[in-house]
Amino acid sequence: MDTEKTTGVKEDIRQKEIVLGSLRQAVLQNLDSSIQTDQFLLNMGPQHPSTHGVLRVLLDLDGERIKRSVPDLGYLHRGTEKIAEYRTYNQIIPLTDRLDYVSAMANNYAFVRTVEKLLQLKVPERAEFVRTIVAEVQRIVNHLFWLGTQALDIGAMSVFFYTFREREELLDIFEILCGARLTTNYYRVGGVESDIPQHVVDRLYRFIDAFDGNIREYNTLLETNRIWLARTKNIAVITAEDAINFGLSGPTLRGSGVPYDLRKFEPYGAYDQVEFDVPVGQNGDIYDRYWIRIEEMRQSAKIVRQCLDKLPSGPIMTDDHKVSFPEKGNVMHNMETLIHHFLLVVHGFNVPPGDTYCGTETPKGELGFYIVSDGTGKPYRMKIRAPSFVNMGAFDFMAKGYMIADIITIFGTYDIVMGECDR
Amino acid sequence: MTLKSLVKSVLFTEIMQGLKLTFTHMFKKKITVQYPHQKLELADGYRGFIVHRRYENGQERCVGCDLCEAICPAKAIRVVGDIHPEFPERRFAKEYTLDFTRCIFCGFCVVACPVNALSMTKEYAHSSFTREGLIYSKDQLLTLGDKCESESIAYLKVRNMWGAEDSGKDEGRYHFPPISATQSGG
Ligand code: SF4
Ligand code: SF4
Repeated sequence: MDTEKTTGVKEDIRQKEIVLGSLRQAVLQNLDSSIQTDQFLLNMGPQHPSTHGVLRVLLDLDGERIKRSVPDLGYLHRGTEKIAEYRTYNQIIPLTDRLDYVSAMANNYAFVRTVEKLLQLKVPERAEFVRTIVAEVQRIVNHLFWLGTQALDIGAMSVFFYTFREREELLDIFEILCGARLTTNYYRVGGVESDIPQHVVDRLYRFIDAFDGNIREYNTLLETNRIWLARTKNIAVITAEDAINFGLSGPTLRGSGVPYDLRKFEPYGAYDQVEFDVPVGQNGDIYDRYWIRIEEMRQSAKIVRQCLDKLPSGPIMTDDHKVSFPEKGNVMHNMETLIHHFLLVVHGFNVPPGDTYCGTETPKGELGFYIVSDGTGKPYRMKIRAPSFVNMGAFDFMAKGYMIADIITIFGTYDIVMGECDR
Repeated sequence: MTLKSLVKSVLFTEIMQGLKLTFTHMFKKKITVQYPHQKLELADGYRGFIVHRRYENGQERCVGCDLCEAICPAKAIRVVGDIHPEFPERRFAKEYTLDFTRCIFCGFCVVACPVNALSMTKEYAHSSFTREGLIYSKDQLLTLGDKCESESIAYLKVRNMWGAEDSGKDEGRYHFPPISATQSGG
């Protein structure tokens, strides 16, 4: 009996070895035999300082050239989609903070928009403006973070300090708004959690006034720097057609010259009431994507200024009390309100049966939520279309033929965040 | 290659410009904060450690209603409600534990609590050598609440959850206005 078992296991292992061996054989056959260099498989990550999280890549190398690269995802998988099936809609908002932890506000926005679409809920005008302002501030924060780390990966240390100086100021503003700097939990279904006070408005104006000068500072350090140009020009080139076929979105797609931006295509929030341009690149290389993100920061600053100018007065939360928490004062003094409060906390609000997909232009690309509702207070199924994950699909294609030192730059150009990629 | 670009590439002009920027920053005001010695002023609405609150007469507010447990997305709270041993008409939390190793500091429990028994503070640097050290009992939360009372009140005010306090003199109870004055609730 026992020997039978062990033979079975041994047979299993042998089978697996055969499969792996044939895979390896196929890999080796793929290599170009005319170049006389060492050929080997290199394992990179998951614990590597430059992979922006826990990402493992198997690199098939021919000397220093990359023949094939296989990203191995899933090290940061936390089962957000499954957990969401056991949480009320309000409880999911803080979970979405943890998807793309560099721009939590944008995730919140994408989620609440999808639920509002299912509920067919109108959001008050002031709330729409506050949401737009905060989303654009988040875009600036994200791109500053990206610029700092991308330059750091390539070896330019000081840019990091300058971008983080500005980022700090904006995170302080987030802290006043919602009480946290990264895991914000600020947007609510039907509005936002707290109002934007006057001193924050003044601070934002002051920030935007100085921001153009700051961008010029970063550009002084990078734009014409020969090391930066050598490391970014004509690296990881992807044509518009390939980019579309791979389903890329965000600056990675726009770098190839496709002006696809959901803020323009299906305006939401207050984007139809402000003027801004969508920058597109020409060559589809890393330098173009860098340039696009710099330009997007300028445009975001422009949007924030216009929104602040037009900021209407009024409520910041919908008056549909089916979804919004009642006032604490009423809860304490009024029996019906108290019962309603209990119901909202324990059961959540019901969402009519149906399913919907809603995409939002986050700093990284199109973040979409697909929610199936069965009419109860919890989603039946929630699917997240994460831009980092989809962009990662083109990694092998974009890295093929470049040097091993470029791998880090190529990670950086997607602006990849593993929290969102692995969910 | 034109003469101009040749001169530029020989003299490293763009690198010099970058260095110039860095050097001018050496004489500007420093923005670095020397953390343990120097601390940043946190905003009033900062979502730090959660505390339990009391009424002015020292009576604990929590009525053991389980709402904070129900809304917690991280399942960090455990409440066992019971009848108060001294006042049989009143309920209280016989057992209450808040697991700060699980808590994600979302602030929902404060929104859910119907008697403002919970609030958040600017405390953030609590640490422990064991996991058990971060699982707080009600007594520990009350002690922390006594220490940070002004901060917890400031939090509720900023989050628009204050204001209900003024007429609720009956400690531990809701104050219900007469039927005729009741507005139809939310
Ligand atoms: S802050 Fe959020 S996670 Fe922490 S105990 Fe309260 S509800 Fe739970
Ligand atoms: S803290 Fe508040 S919500 Fe939680 S059990 Fe006590 S009274 Fe209820």
